[in-house]
Amino acid sequence: MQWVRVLGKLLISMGVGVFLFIVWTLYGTGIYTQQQQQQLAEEFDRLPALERQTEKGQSFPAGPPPGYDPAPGAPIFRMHLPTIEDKPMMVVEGVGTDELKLGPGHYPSCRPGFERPLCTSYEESYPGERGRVIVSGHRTTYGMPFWSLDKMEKGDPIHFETQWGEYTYLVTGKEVVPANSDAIVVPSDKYEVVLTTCNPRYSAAERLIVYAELDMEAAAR
Amino acid sequence: MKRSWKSKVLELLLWAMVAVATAVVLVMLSEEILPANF
Repeated sequence: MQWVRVLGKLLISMGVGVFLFIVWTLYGTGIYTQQQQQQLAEEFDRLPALERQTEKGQSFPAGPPPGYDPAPGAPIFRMHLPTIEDKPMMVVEGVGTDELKLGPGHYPSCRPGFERPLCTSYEESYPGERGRVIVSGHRTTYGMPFWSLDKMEKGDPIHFETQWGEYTYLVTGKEVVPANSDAIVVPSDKYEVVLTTCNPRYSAAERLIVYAELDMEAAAR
Repeated sequence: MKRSWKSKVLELLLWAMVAVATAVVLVMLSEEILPANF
C-alpha cells in the first residue's frame, strides 16, 4: 500500500503548511505592521505643525485647517490607549485592506483615493473637531492593535497627538453589533471618537464598538 | 531494501517544500479567504 503512505505524508505536509499559514497570519503579519509603524512614526514626526481651526466664537477645541486632505495610508495622528497598550500607535488615513495593514485607520470621507463603502458620504472629522472620529483596526492580525479593546471601560482615556494639537477623549461606553452594521458611520454633533474592531477574537462575526467623548476640561487647558 | 540516508533527507526536503508551498498559496489567497479587518 505504497500510495497510502504517500498520501499520508502529503496530508501531513499540507497540514504543516496550514499551521505555518496560521502562524504567519497571527504573528508574521505583525512584523510587517511593526516595521510600517516605525516608518510612519518617523514620517509623522517630520510633518510640520498646523494651525488650529476653531469653531466661530470659540477658542477650543480645534481641528485641522481647511484643506487638510491626507492621502490614503498617510500617518495622520498618534493614538494611545494607556489602559490596554504600552505604546502609542500611528493611525493612517483610510480603512481599506492596504491601509489597515499599516495600523489602525481613520474613516475618511469619500473623495479621490477613497471609495464606497469604506468612506463616509458626509465630511470626516478629526480629533479636536466637532463630529464623529471613527478609527478601525485589526483585532487578531497585523499587529493586533485592538486585541484588548474589550477591556476598555467607561472613563478610560484615549490620547491623540495631531499636527494641530493634543486631545484626550474619555470612554463613555461600548457595545457589540452585527458585522454588517453600519450604524456607527453617521454624522454627530458631539466631539466624539468611535473605535471599532472585529469581535470576538479570531472571528469577524460581530463588531466591537467603543465610544468616547472629548475631555473638554483637558482641551481647555 | 534499506534506503540510504541521502534518499531519506531528499524525501524530507520534498515534503518540507510541499508544506512551504501550501503555506505560500494560502498566504497569497489570504485576502480572499480571510474576512476583512479580521
